[in-house]
Amino acid sequence: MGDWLDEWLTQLPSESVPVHLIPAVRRRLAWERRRERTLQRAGAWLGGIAAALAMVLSGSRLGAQIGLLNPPPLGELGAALQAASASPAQALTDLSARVASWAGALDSWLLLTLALLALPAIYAASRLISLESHQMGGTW
Amino acid sequence: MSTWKLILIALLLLSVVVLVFSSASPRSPLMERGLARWSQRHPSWVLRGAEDRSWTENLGLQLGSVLSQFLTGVVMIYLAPARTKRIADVLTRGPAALLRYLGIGLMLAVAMVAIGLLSALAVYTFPLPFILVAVFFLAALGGTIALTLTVGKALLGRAGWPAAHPWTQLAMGTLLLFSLSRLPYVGLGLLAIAAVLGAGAAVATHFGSGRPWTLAPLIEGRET
Repeated sequence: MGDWLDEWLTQLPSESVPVHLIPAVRRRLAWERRRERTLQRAGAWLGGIAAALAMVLSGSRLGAQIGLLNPPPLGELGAALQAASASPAQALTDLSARVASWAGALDSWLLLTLALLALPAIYAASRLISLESHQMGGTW
Repeated sequence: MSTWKLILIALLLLSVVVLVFSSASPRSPLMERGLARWSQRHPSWVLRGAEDRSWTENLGLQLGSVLSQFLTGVVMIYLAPARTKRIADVLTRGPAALLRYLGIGLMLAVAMVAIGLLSALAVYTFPLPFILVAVFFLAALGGTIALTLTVGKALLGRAGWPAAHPWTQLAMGTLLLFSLSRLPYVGLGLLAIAAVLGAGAAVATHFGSGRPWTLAPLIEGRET
């Protein structure tokens, strides 16, 4: 709800509007805005809790056991990128095979961790995008 | 000659110097160790891009890469000029907006990896990771090209050529960003930041369509 509605309410022709209508509309607007803020706050809390849970789960011994949290050494990463730039098709095939075998070995707790990571990430992205959309006149 | 013209010329010279030095410099110890491990596990032709070459060969390769990136940008700005302009425009809104786009890109990358891995496990959604990667790659590519255009336009504008041809703006931006990505140790990080920022800006502007992201069509009584 934009503030321009408040401005419009003051410009309505007074003779054709019932006396109680404008206060009623203002009350409804205030209620809608409170509801929107409450929903946003609840979403932020849920996102935060999901992110915290994901951090706890991914930091647990379970995560470390299957090597999820062992990132490849920086040198290997650089070499991988160079190899990828040399033969992208081979690198893609290689990466797909690695991801498939890695994902197949995932524990159910880690699947939950991934889902819990995706949830706050999408929520945060949607909040940031909604700022842009509001500027363009849309509603999220 | 104005200060900005001097800065522009200095940046161009510096970019060329970075390209020459990065062609001539030896691989970092980290890269050497990584290659040694990789060469045990992979056939030699997979690591062809990382093999030792003379500095002139490296320079030729780098110049070819700059040219190919520039031509990719040219194709993109001809395919979607209005979309590229919208993305480029939002990238000039200041540091707060840039941080927001960086945040959007980062969050989407995290979500994409998580969703991609989760969907790879189900038979009916297993192609999704490839689609997600392709979408993110295109967003990053479009956004990065818009970023190079913005950088080139800003520098040329300050130097007194505000009406420079888009090809010139693109060439200027491409050379600068490419040489930045070739800096030792920080280059790959800078490239990743540019890609994430570009992807964030592209997604925030609805892939440069200028239309807001909205759920209005799904809500009864709302205009579409």
